[in-house]
Amino acid sequence: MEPERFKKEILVLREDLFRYAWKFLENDPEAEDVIQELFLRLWYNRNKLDNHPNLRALCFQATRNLCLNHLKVMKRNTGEKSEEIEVPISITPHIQLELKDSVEKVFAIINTLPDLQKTIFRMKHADGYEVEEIAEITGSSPEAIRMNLSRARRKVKELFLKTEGK
Amino acid sequence: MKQENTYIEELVTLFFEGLTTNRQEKELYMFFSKENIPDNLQVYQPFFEALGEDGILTKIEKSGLSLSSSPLRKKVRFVRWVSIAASVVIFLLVTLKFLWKEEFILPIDRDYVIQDGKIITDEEIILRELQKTMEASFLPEEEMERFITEISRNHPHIFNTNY
Repeated sequence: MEPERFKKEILVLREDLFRYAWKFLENDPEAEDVIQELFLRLWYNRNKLDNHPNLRALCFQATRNLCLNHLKVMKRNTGEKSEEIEVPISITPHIQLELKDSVEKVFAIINTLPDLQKTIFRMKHADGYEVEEIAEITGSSPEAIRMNLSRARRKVKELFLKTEGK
Repeated sequence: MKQENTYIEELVTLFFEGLTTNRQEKELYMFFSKENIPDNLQVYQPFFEALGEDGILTKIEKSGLSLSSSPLRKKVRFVRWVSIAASVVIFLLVTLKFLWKEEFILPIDRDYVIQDGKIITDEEIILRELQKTMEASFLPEEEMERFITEISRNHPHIFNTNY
């Protein structure tokens, strides 16, 4: 799917999808994160969307799934705010010994990030997107993207320095 | 040199705020790939060196997001299916154990009737007994009256309402 068609047929659903996500989460920042993740998933799979018979239904279904998934994570982390929810870090002392190479270490840490942060990290560092471009794809504000990018970078730095014993 | 260090410090701060451009990030990677990094910035050197490596970009590029469910969802689904399978197995085991109790097993695997506590399997005898039973259930009315009169005569207290 061409970026123009993506904008025309998928991005226009943003407001409706946000409202739909809000019904599940009843929280603006969490609904925003879910919608960002949704559009990034759709963006990375846009080539598979060309022949989909009902894109609108797909978007709503995917939003619902992401919301339910988000709620499950919330339930597991009862009492924690959504921005504090992290996938448990799986860098065991054994892996620390194995990952002597800094590149391997950073990559392993990136893989422990929540999907949304991981994808924004990837878009910025691997695909070379600027924050404004990511914001355009997701229909979000650049500030909202920067916030998630900042969280991801701080987390990677923090864990990296911890594995280095600093 | 001091000016450059101050600039890099600012860039590092901006980097962790998510406020750097791609060009500024390249400057950071370039800076940290050099030797003789100032003491206060040395702590970041391996981190930015790693991020500046081509290897890590290739690795991240390969780990794309799919439209399918996330690992958590897959895990939940897996646990759900394992629970269902375990429930079915337990149900079958309990049912089989229940069915295999001795009193639930039929004593013989053929047609039979029990008469005076004896099991009869001979089809001819069974048919004869069935016929008798059927006939008894269709006793003519007269015979029935005669039967009742006989009983009332031999056992008057049964039908005596003034008793």
